[in-house]
Amino acid sequence: MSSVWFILLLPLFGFLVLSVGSPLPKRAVAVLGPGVVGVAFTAAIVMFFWDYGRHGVTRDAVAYTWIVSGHFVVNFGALIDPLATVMCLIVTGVGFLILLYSVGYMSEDVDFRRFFCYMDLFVFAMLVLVLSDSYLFLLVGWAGVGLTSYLLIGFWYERPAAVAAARQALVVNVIGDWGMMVALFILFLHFHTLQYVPIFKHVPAVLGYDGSTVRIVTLLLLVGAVAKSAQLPLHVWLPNAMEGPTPVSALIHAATMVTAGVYLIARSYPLFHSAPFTQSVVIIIGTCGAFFAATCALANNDIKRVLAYSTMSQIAYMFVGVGAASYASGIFHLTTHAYFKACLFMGAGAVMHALHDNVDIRRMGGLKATMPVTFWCFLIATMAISGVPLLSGFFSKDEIVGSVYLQAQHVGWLWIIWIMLALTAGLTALYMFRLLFMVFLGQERDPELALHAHDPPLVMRLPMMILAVLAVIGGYLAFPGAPNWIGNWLRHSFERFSPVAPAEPATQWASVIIVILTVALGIFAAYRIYYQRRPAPEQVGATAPAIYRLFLNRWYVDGLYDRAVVRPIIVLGLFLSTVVERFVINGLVEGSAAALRDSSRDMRRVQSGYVRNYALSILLGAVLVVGYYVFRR
Amino acid sequence: MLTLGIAPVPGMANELGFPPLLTILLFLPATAGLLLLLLPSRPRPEGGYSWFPVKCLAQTAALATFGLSVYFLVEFHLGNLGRSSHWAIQFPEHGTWLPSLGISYFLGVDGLNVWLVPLCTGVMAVAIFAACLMINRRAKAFLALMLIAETGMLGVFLSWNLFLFYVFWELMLVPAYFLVGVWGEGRRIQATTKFVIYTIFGSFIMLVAIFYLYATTPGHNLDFPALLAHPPSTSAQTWLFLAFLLALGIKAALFPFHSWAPDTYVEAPVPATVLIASVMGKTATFAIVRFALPLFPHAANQFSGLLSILAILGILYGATMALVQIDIKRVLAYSSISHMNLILLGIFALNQQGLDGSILQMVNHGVIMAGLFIMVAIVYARSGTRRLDEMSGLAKAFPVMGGFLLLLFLAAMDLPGLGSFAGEFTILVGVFLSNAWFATIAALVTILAAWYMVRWFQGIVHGPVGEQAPEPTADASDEAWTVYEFPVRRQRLTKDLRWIEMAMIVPLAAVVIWLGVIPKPFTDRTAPTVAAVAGVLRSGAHGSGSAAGTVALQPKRMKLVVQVDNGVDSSQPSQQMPCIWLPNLAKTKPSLPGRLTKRITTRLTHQMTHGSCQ
Repeated sequence: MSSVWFILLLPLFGFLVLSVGSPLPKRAVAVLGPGVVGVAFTAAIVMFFWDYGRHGVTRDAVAYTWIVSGHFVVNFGALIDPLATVMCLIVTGVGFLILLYSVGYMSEDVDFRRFFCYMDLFVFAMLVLVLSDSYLFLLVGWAGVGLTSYLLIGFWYERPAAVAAARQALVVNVIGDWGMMVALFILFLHFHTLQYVPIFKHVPAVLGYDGSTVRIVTLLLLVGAVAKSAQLPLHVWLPNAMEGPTPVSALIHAATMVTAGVYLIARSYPLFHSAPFTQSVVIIIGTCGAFFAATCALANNDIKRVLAYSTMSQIAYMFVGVGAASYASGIFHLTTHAYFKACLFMGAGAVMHALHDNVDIRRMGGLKATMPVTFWCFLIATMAISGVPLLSGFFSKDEIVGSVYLQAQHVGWLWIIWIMLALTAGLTALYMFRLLFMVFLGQERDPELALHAHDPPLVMRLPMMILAVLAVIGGYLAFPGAPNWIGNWLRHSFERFSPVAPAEPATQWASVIIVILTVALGIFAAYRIYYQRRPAPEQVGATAPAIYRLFLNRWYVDGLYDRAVVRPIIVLGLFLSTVVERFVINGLVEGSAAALRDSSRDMRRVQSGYVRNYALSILLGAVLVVGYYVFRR
Repeated sequence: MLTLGIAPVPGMANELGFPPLLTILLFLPATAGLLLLLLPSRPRPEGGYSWFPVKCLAQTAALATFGLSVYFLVEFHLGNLGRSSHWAIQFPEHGTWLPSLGISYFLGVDGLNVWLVPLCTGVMAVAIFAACLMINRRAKAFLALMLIAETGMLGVFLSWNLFLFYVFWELMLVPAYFLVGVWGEGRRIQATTKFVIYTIFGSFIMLVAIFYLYATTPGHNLDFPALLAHPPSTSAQTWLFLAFLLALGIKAALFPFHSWAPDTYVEAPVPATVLIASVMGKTATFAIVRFALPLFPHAANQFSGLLSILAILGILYGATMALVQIDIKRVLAYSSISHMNLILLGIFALNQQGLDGSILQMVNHGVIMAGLFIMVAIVYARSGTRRLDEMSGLAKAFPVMGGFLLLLFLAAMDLPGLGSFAGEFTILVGVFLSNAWFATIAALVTILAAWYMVRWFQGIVHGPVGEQAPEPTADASDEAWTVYEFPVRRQRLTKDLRWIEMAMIVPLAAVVIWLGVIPKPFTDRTAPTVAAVAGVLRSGAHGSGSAAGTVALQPKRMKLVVQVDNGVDSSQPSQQMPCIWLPNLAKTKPSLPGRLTKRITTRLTHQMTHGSCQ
């Protein structure tokens, strides 16, 4: 049990030392920052292989009681089961590789120490999120990763764009926190606890199947998941988050934090399982998001933003997976996505390094010759994300699409979902190969910029290569036809509380073949357009200007939010402070004060000092009093 | 219907004990303050005065008071949560004061004030430290007034006699009036006049209510146990409760009686702002829990809905106002109002979680606001301006300051993991148990709070490293002004956070983190008393408002116990919590999305079968 606390406390230790250790030399920071995460990864492997993870045992370790207030009792503890172990391995493993990469990437930065300080804090918060055994500490980790995401997006705080992006990310994430909080209140009201196990045990008994309470709880949890995972309609912050340093995009905004929404749904599956209505909503949000993000990626010319939209699109696939009650396939895609997307971002970072932080793909091209290692890694990862057969993305994505295909045979409207998913698979191949061709192949578009282009140093190359290898072999955990290792293992998590154990579907060959065909079509189209003809993106857009503008402007969603939500609140605030506060609230007070003053001025006139006036008033008073008693009867 | 007898408290007369530690705690600051005035002011040869001995004495007194208050925290006996709730008054000190009028001198500690007393003394120690650093003009009088105000506030927290409470309630107002009126900024006179008139207006109405209670209580006894045993009739409770709530609501900045607060907070010098915003506001929220709720339980239940709505309006109103302010101090003033209304909302939930959370949040809010207002002075000493649009990118030159600002900003936006989250979440759990919609809407404030606080934080330390504001034009030779004072400056600090500044912020930051990591020691101490309050309130909800209470003295522990027995075991989850929203959910009526889906599908099938649209 102690290894869990070891894993959890190591990154915290790193954060604490780095946050106060301003005199630490750079070399010590470079060892300590990634080192603690590396040791935590080792400990996680130990936990996995030698302790309990292997057999799929679930254990709940309570560290201490956090609060007691009447029957509101919350413990801080860790729940270790296959799902938590998978997440833990991804966070520490991929996190370690990315931190290693950052040592090279950030080596020129003056705030080297602050960067690793935040990154270690992120790893700690993410581990709290995935290891917690209660919703409350899930929320603590949830907000913690949101905070570190905010800090790291705004890492270069002198850039106004980074500051604005960080602010947007924070506020949108807090919208999700609100949904989570209200969901927690409802859960507490009904279960008198926030620990997972007692809640999950009693879901059907307390909330019933498809009752309105369980619908509302799951929808509110979904608000949190959507905000954190940048899904429709709270996706706007993710592309802007690319203002942060590239390793941050790789770790937080691709591999780990943004997939927390998928983890949340998978973790809460007994609730979602009892709310088919919400599951349909998850599927629809996922499918629309996958398609939407793919179209945005198609028109974007910023290398990191294209990858950001592809992240959103891939997470949308995971949403569809967990929405379709195929939880293991969603987590499987989460795992493989962590490999190839982190690899892609590392490649993008290497390109930016070589091209003086230029991100515009219209000025790139022909980098294959000068950066061969980066090219090959990028190519492998691109093939993996596109779903080229026998690479990891192919297996995981096909499992999701296949499970929808299987269910569509019973539920009619899922055919539309399946068609859109297959279509989006083709679009994914198209925009990813467009990116690859424009950046690495053909002629240099800006020879001056690429003059000193070169492969990154070993400390950056090595993690990239390891991830490329993982992007190839990561999929063989669930080879079609062979025993589905990851599925069988995760099953220990996913059949514990479920009334019906979700069966791992057999491979749907018809679905697989159609997806392969659309992917091939996408790659072929990218090859024809962006490799053979190499037009400027605007020329491609000119063939369908309206659609191109729609995609380029991200379907005008950002502007809509600005006009419909942000500005009205600001205007309301200005109205309140200039009008209501001044004239209504203060007016009430000052008005009554003025009324008192005026009346006292009138009253002064009454107190004239003349006896006859007083006598008159006494007489009047007496008449009134007597009259009152006379006429009262 | 419960029967209850009061209880003549045997052996209570003139029981001060020896040494009367609470009395010493209570009068130590004021005595030191009066002593200060006797100290001679030594003029310096180069002009101005040397305030060093004065400041040493004031700081020593403040620290000694804090140390003594910690003693009560350590010695506080944890109540037993098991079977019945005890309202135990520990360390009671009882003496006759005006025996002919039945007014007694009665101090004691229970779960409600056991944390608020150290909050008061601790924050005041920091505020006096800040005053030593920031006030050079007539520093002796300033410090003396601060210490006298501290005694006033401690008296409010410690009094168990209603009249004694009122005396201290008025006592703390007088120093505050001068602190703002003499040392404040440009519009200080308007601000302090508004503050005082507002407060006094409410206080007089409360005084009338106290007179009524005095006249109607058998034996003319204004001691809390006697009052608790003889609750007024339900109709009288209504007016008494409203009279109390008017006075206390004004002081706690309940919407819409808050308008004195932003002006006062902004115009006051920073140590006085800390005093008023961090501690004095808590005296009002505390007094609601101590007196207004248990003495008038029926009226409290009757009005909790209305007051909750006001509090929710205040929460959202304050947050929206904070969003558009330019002055960094004014942003904090409105944020403080928003948070105070959240505390009030928790109180009006009238249940264990709401009250526990509120007391926790009172301490959190006091600590965080003290830190934030001191940070305003620290930032101002470096930026030379308090306007958000005139400063930018201070983190570059002052990274350590930026770090502390970050921590306090996160605490103010209730980041999970920090103290304020524990308080806020517990409050909202309590509110949710009493009315789900209230909690759902009030929780929206987290979004606004994140927004205005991140705007505040980023506006100060982030953005391009801008040009510095112009050097001060004020008379630089005037030794009396310090760099922290607004609007006149002598010079600007160019170094990062100094050690002396850190000494103020670090303890506050440590408390914020501690209460976030493990708030259990906190609620362990509050919960037994809060359970008793909640028990009285529950009995007031159905009965005529007569609560049960037996009072007994435990001579060994020197503890006075008010036993509240309303037949409900408060340690168990109560099934009687009023709940408006969720029973509907549990019924078979479909939810809104369900109804919409159904309506759409019916319409579609109708169209399909009939083949046309109307």
